[in-house]
Amino acid sequence: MSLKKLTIHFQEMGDLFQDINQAIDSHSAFVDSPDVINFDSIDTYRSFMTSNKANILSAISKLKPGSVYELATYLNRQPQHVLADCRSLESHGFIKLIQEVGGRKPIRPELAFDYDVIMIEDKGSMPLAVSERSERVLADAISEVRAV
Amino acid sequence: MNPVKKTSITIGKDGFKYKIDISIEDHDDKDKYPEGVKAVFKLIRLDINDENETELMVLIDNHKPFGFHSHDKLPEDHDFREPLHLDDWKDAWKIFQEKCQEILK
Repeated sequence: MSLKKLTIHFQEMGDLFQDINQAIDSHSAFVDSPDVINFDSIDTYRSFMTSNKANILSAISKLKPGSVYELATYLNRQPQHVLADCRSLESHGFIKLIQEVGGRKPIRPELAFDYDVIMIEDKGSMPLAVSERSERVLADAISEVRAV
Repeated sequence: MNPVKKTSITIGKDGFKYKIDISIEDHDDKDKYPEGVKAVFKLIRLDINDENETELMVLIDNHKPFGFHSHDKLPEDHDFREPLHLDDWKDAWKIFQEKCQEILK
């Protein structure tokens, strides 16, 4: 079974607007795929995706926490800091924060969709393994390369 | 028309990250959208404080009874609407591009 990918695509604002204008002029559809997130540059993406945020994505995928509090416990971090990172991941499109009903109404984090790996459309960037399965696949790939 | 739905994250001249959110699509409800097109253009500032909250900086849309209008007092006043007196969503799209250039570049 192949890995489900979330792709990070880069395009500057001017080029994006130009492409939209072309689509409008040529009456073509121009719609984001749900498995793509657009940034203007690799620098913007790198300044966003800190190791803390990458760890959050990995923990959500592997441990399926029922709340941000539970996620913070797994990560051994302060809940308010984890919640802030989760809010940022949500506004950028990487996760969803679901307000549960009943009881103390916990906020449950989940991936925007069930992706295994983040592929970055930049030659110098490694894929970011999110799920356990993708870690295994990437580790196997690296050992194969080293063996050659 | 064929739909246009694009979102992109970009860095502004103030160092904040912004989300550009563009949606243009046909709409059957001619009463709400007399042109038959629903157009929503948003510019959202991201991670504005320690809690990483967001704030809407530009919102241009065209629902009835206002027609095309811009929410010009964002983020403080979401209910303030400045009519744009436009008949064509393409003109609203041009205004949105200009506002993005103004804020981001």
